[in-house]
Amino acid sequence: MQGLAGSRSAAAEVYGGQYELAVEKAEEIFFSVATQVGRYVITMMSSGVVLAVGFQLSGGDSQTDALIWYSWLGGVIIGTMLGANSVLEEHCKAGPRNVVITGSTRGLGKALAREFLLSGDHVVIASRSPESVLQTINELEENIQEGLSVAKKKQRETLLQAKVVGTSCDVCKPEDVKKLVNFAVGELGSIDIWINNAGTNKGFRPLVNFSDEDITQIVSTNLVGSLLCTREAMDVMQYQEKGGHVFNMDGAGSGGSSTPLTAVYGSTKCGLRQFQASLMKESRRSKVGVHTASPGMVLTDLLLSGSSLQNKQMFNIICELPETVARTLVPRMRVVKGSGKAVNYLTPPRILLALVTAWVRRGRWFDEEGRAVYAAEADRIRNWAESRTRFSFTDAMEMYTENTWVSVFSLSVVCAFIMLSSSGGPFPGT
Amino acid sequence: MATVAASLPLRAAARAGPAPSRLPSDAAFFPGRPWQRGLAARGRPREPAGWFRAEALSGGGGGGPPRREPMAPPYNVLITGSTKGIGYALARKFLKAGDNVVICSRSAERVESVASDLKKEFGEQHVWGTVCDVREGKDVKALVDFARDKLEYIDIWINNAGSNAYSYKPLVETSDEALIEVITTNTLGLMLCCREAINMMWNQPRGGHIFNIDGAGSDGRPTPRFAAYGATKRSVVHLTKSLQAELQMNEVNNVVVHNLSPGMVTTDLLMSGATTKQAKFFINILAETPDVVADYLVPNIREIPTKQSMKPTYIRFLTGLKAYSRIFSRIAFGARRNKYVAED
Repeated sequence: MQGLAGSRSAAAEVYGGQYELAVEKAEEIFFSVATQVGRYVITMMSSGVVLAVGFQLSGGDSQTDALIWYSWLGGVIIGTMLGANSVLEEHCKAGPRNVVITGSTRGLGKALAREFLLSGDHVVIASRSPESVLQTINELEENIQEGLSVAKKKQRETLLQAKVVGTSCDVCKPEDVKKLVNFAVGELGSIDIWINNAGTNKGFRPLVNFSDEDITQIVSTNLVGSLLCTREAMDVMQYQEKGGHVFNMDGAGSGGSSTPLTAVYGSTKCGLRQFQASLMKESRRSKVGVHTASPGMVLTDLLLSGSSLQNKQMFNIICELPETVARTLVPRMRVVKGSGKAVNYLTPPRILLALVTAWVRRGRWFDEEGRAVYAAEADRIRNWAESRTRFSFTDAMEMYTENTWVSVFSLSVVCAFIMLSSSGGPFPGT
Repeated sequence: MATVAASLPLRAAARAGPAPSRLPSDAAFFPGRPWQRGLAARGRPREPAGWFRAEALSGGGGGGPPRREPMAPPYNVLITGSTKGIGYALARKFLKAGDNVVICSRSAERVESVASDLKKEFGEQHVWGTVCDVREGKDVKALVDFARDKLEYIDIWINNAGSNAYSYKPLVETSDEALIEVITTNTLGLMLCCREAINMMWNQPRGGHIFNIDGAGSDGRPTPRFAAYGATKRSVVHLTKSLQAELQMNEVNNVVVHNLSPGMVTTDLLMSGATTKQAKFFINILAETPDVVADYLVPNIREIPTKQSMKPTYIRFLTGLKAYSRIFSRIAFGARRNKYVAED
């Protein structure tokens, strides 16, 4: 009797455990569906409100009022289809990517590597010095472990997939680059994303004060290195089933505006932009996508070397920490499609925000004497797990794919115009 | 973003630069100050500003600030990569105009033979030749010393040396050597030359003019099949722009950096790419022989010092209008078909 009771309770426990698991899973699915639905409802409503307000202000009558709502419905339907498409695609393409990042033992490269690892990707670290590569790998592995200790279940699964390896590589040496490619293919099997992040600047001064070695190093890292790496990466990727994506990093001068005091750096970056255009033409029929990534202004050694008090005050307004930038860039790099995309951090809304809040941003990174007031990297990383889970408005905005925004708004407007014009225009006053 | 980044460092220099001793340290960077403008108006010698000062004093300028002299013909001209192609044609045209020319190139034999030919034609005291690999900092320094030794000063420095490794292939098929040669010659070599030229000229009483030769891709348009070349030529134009800004910032107003666009010239560099139908079509329509191009460019270059102009210019042989009218006449009347290469 007792034994029976015991087994029954055990059975009940097992059953109860299964039940709880099922409930938990259902809850999870329900929650994610609800989030998606909620997101769309909000988008649709807001577009409807905008339309309604617009037409109300322009003095619409009852007939146009009906048309507004028809056009809004049209916009909602098409927007939903496009949005669903992008969500599905994102879902199907989930899974670890194999990423190679050059110059990734410090600054933005390291932040990018960390962010890719957090998304559960496999990352190859590369830099000139073997010691710093080793050190970075250890550090990043520690980061993963720390992340695992605080991560929730779902994030845990992705984090467990993360893997970081590395090798030393001087990007201006062809044989080194070939070695890096072979290493990456050997370790990971294929390369999905290649980021040409290695770049150097050597401080701010007129060209006449740069030494031969400085100029040689800037040119060979920024230009020779990027070209060699791009070539090798494309060479591997074009034979891969899924193709691949190469990113070149923009910098000051990319847009073609002059860069006095960093003439060498600027002109290499400007040349790279033209190179990107040529590549797009060359690789039109290939499976390899070539893109640019623009991190904006990042608080790294490259920018801070030789900066003065005044530009530090400027940095307060527009600069960002490498982690922040990487957090925005990486999700977009992971889902990039086609070729010739530009993944930018400093988008117009962000610039606007920075200018509007300029006053608040005084003293954000540097105080009045130009001393850094932001935490050292190690401290920043310590708080990184919590900060990721914290809700941020700009990130929430970013979560909507641009497609959804653009399609909902533009299509509503287009529909409105089509309906207005097809209704024959029996409006009073026209 | 780029503009923000570009404008930031301006102040950096003002702070970090070694302060000129006679003027308050900020003076050089605030050209709007009336008392300083007054100095300039009275024709007092310009004080070496900030960054350039240290260089100037160590660069053999002696103690005092440089005297100013107007530039007058004959001009002393230095052309890099001038033993063949457009560089050679330019050198001949300058010599014909009565100027003194320093020619140089990587190969000793070519320099020797070209220099002796030109000497026979134009006289011993007008042309000098030396070996110089623009990719080597010490070679460029030696070139400056050579020019200073033979001619004392250089009025016009033309950065013509350029390469596309004579290969027209997609990037993926380009060899390591070709990539590195293109970039080191076109970008690194140019930067080293510009640096030495500015360094030399800014200290000369007559000042100087530097001309950088652009090429396909300078306007930012894509250059498939020679991506590396296009990228380097785009960087040439950008470097010119940055240097102009830099010189202006430091109030160096006796050295000017210009761009020079020869358009399409039927040199080895271009003709090695005449393999596709499209390329042949455009070469026949738009290209010109080096002599024709030099005939146009040299008077335009010489006009700048003659007019005492100190404004940066962009001298173009093949302007858009010219190009379109040629394409039109080709399509309408079949002009220039098979001019240089057989198209069918």
